[in-house]
Amino acid sequence: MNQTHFDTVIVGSGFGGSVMAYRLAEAGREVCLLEKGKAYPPGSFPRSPYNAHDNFWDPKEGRYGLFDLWSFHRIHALVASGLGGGSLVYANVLVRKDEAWFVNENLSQGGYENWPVTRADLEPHYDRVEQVLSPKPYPFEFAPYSGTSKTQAFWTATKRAGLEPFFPGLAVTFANGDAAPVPGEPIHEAEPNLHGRTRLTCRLCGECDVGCNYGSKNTLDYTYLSAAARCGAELRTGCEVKSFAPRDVGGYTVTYVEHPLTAAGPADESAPSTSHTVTADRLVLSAGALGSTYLLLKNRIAFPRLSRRLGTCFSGNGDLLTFVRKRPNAQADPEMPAVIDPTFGPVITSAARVGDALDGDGSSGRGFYLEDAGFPAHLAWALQVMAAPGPLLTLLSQRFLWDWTGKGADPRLPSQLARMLSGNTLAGGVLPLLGMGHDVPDGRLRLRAGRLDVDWNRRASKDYFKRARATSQRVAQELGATFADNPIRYLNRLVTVHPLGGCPMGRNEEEGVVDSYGEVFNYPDLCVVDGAMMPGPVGANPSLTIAALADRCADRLLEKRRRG
Amino acid sequence: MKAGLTFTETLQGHLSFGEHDPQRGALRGTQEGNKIFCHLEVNVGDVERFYLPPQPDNALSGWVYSSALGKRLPVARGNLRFFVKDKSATTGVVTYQLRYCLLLFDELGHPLTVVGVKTIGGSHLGRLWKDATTVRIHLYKGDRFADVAGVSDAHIGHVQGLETLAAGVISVRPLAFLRQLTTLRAADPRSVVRFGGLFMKRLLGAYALGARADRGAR
Repeated sequence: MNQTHFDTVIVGSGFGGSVMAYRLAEAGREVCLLEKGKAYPPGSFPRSPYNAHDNFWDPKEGRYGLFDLWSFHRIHALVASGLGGGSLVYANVLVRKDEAWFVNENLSQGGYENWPVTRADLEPHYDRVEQVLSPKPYPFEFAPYSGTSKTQAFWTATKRAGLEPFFPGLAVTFANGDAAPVPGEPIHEAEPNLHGRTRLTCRLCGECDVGCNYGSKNTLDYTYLSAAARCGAELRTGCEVKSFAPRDVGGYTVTYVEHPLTAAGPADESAPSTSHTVTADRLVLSAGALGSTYLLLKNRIAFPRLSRRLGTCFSGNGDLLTFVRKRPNAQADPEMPAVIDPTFGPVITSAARVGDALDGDGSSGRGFYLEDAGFPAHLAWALQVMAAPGPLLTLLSQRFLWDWTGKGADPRLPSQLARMLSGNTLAGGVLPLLGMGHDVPDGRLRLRAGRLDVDWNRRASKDYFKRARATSQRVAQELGATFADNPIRYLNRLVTVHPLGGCPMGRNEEEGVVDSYGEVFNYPDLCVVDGAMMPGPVGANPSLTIAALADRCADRLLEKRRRG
Repeated sequence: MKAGLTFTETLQGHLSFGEHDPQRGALRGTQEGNKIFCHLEVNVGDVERFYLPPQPDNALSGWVYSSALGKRLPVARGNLRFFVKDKSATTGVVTYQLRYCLLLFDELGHPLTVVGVKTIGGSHLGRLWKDATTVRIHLYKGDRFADVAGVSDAHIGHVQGLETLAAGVISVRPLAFLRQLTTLRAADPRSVVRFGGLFMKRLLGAYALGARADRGAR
C-alpha cells in the first residue's frame, strides 16, 4: 500500500518545489512531491502536429500535455506542467536579480512592491543553486557555435544602439567537463539521472522552448529531482492537488486526483481519475504563481486567517515579445550576417541590460533586459509554408508550360527548388526579441465563478512597455530591418511566460501572504515557495531567483526543525 | 392546523475576506469588487406563531453566490428567526433582530456557516426602510450551524473556536422588494394577510418601543 503520511508534501516540481524536495530529502526528511504533469525522458517531447494537439494541459478533455495556457482578459500566460515544471520549456537563462531592483516602496502610500529580502541575503543561495544547475555562457568563441547568426546580429545591433550585450549563464551542457564543446556528444554523468537515460550535449537545434529531446538542458528532472529521488524523495507524477486543510492535530490533509497517464502518447481513456488523500506535517505549495494562488483562493474557506493580500502583486515580469524582420534586399553589411537563422543555436544566447532609475547611474525610467530569441525549425517550416504558395505556383506553371510546348525544360530542378525556399524572408530573416524587466506589479488574481481571473491592465506599466518597445525598435533599425509587434498585441493583450506574484512576501500579514522564508502568516508549516511569493517583478529571467529563494526557505525549515 | 407561507428574498452586497466588521468589510469589498448574492426561499411554518421563540420551523433554502467562493453554493441548512429581542449591554436600547443562519459547502466540500442580522428598532421611524432591508453578515469557517443558530449577538462572541472568514453587508434593493411581495405563497390566502399584519405590527412596534426608550432615557 502507498504511504499516506509524510514529513513534507510538496505540490509542484518547478524551481521552487524541486529545490525544496532535494534539500529536505537530503536532510533525511520523508518527502512526497506531487506533480500533475508527466515525466519527460529524452525523446518524449512531441514534435509532429498530430502529437502536438495532445500536448496541452486540459484534464477535462483528457489532455495531460506539457503546455498550460491561461487566457485572461488582458493577459495570457503560458506555463508548463510536467516533472521539472517551467525548466522543461524555459530558455535556460540564469541571471541574478539586480541588487537595486529589490525595491522597498511604502505600500500604504501608493507603493507597489516591498521586498523583505536583499541581494546580499540571496547571494549564498544563488551560489549554491548555480553549483547544481551549472550555468555556462554560450561558447561563442568555438566553431560551430561562432556561426550563430542571430547572436552575431544581436551583438552588432545592440552595440550600435548603445547597449552592452553579454553572454548570460545558460543551464545547458555544451561540453563534458573542461573538454572543448562539441554538439551531440554523450554527457558523462557522475550518477544516473531519474530517467536512466543518456543525455547528449547541445545540438543547437533551437528547440529549448518546446522541450529538449536530447537532454542537453540541465533541467530540474536531471538535476535537483534526480538528486532528490536518490535521497529517497517520492516523486508522484500525474497527481493534481485539489484541496487541502489544516488538521486538528497539526499538519495538513491534502487531497489529490491521480490522472490516468501513460508514459507517452494520449491518456488511457478507460482508466478514470482517482482521488487520494495524504497527510503531512508540512505542506509546501510550489505550483507556480498561478497554480499556488489558485489553490489557496479555492481553499480559502479552510484558512480563515490568510492575509488579505492574497492574489495581489501579480505581474508578468514585464514580458514583451517583438520581432525584427530583415529586409530581403538590405544593403550588405560586413558586420552583419547575410541571413539570420533563428533556428540555429539555443533559444537565448545573449542579453543586454537597459538601466533603471533605481540603478543610480543616470538612467531614467524602468529598466529591462533584452534577449535574442530563437525558435525551433518546425516553426520556421510553418512560416516558410505560409509564404510558399506564390513561388510554388510560379515553379509549377513554368514546368507545365515547358512540358506542354515540348521544349526542353531546365533540368536542374534543385536550383529552382532552392530559389523557392530562399525567396522567403519570414523564416530566414526573423529575429524575435524578448524583453523583460521591472514593470509595475499591480495585478490582482481572484476567483470569478470558480475560475481564476486576473485584474490587470497595462496602464500602470505603460511607460515601461513604451520604453521596451522603443529600444527594440532601435535595435531593429540598427539591423537595417523592419520592426513588428507581437500580433496578439493588437488585441491589447500581452503574453507572459513569467507570471509572478499572488502570494507576496512581506514583513507582516498587512504587507504579504508569506514571510521572507515562504511561510504563510498565521499558518505555521504551510509554505508557498515559487514565483507566487515574489512581491514584484524579478526583472531578469526569474528562475534562478525562485530557486535561490527556495534554497533559503529550505535552510530555514531545516533549522527550525532542529531547534524544535 | 398550522398555516404555512413561503416567500423568496433576494439580497446582494459586498463582503471582504479577513475582515471582522461588516461595515468595513462592505467598504473594502466594494473596492475589491467582491460581490455576494443570496437567493433565499423563506418557509414560515406557522403564521400565527412565526415570531415567537423558539421558532424551530422557519426554514431557509436557496443558494448563495459570491465570486470569491466560486460557483453558486446551495444552502444545505438554513434557519430564519424573526424579531429576536436584544438589549444592548452598553446603552440599554432595545432592538429586534431578524437572524439568518445558513450552512454552505464550497466546491471542494469545505463547510462554512453564514450568519446574517437585520436590526430593527432602537431609533426613529425614518430608518425603517434601511433597517428592514439591510443585513450584516459574517462568514465562519466550518459547520457551526448548531452552535450559532440559536445564539444572539450578545453571546456569539462567547462561542468557542469560531473563526471569522469574511464580513460584509447585503441588502434588499427596492425592485427586489417589490418582486419579493409577488412571491408570497400560502395554501390559504388569509395566511398572507395575517402574516403581513403581524409582521407590520411587530415592525412598527419595534420603533414605538425605541421611541419610548428614547423618551425614557431623556
